[in-house]
Amino acid sequence: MPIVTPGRRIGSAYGSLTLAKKLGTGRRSGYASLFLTPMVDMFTIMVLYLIQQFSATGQFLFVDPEVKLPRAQRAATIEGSPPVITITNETISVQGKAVEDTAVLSKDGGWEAPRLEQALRELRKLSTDVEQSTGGRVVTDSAQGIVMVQADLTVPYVLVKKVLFIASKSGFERADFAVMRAK
Amino acid sequence: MAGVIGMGGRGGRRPVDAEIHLVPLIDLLSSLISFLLMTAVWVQVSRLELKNGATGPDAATAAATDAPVPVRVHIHARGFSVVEPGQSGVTQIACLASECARIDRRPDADGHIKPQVVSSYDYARLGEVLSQLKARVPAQKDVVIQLDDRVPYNEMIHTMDVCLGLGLDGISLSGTSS
Repeated sequence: MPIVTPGRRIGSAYGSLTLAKKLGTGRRSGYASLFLTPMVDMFTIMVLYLIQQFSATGQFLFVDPEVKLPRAQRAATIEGSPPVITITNETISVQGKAVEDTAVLSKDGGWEAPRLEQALRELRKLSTDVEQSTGGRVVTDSAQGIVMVQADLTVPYVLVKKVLFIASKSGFERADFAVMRAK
Repeated sequence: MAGVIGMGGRGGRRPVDAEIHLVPLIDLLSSLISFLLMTAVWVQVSRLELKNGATGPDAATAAATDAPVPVRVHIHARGFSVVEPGQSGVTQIACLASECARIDRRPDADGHIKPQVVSSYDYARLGEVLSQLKARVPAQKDVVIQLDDRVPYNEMIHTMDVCLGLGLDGISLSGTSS
């Protein structure tokens, strides 16, 4: 389509139907015109919006559908892929696998959760073995003692406190909390 | 579609008008939109970092033993208590309702019960108190958030968020003796 001098002309897209009927045969055309300019505009806006939303870090954190995370405005982007401890009102999971009932830690004075501790120790050992076998070239977040706590917003603090204590005993001394980014 | 078409070019001059290849452009845009939609991350999960999370059975004093801890924000069943270093008094911030936080277990439209925290903690007042403190001591960065056992996790995160917003990013957690 060559570029032509702009000006007013009668077209099927924008022209009035009455005028088109007068000029034409009066039969309805079998062709529909495509509004190219707004379509390209829309595509461009969509591409720009999606590129803005695009995350190139490749980080992925599985969020348990049972868990409703709290919201925070000053949250930072998740770096690496630390092991995840999920705390709901029913169970405590490590890497998505339920390992302990919450009731174990809910009772007063209950600071022991053997299965949770064992799961965390195994994770820590695995990452340390990987680090040693690769001569220190592969250092995972587990090997650095980082753990991500993903807790439901309704759980009482005592549960979080006890889980952090057990994580610390198992070698995970640094904890990050998963939150939803608030606008 | 055709390539570049000359329009005019009088006297052997190079034409300045060019045609946009619409079909490949639309193809490219459609492919880009499909790719970006497929790889888009819609759930914005982020993290709040904790400086010192080690809390044990003797948690009332466990979290901050090494470094001097200048500010202490205690979240309890009646509101906040803010203890400033070097100050003898404690700033009490009461909740906006008689019950500071309660768990609402009403069913949603689908009949599923999804508990929600209804919070009445006065975070605006807490922000004011901490910002006044920060204005007096700009170098202040460390804060210990002390929570009663029954305080919902939501309040902990909200308080951490307030502290981070004021530049108090050296956050430690502490509990109370249960």
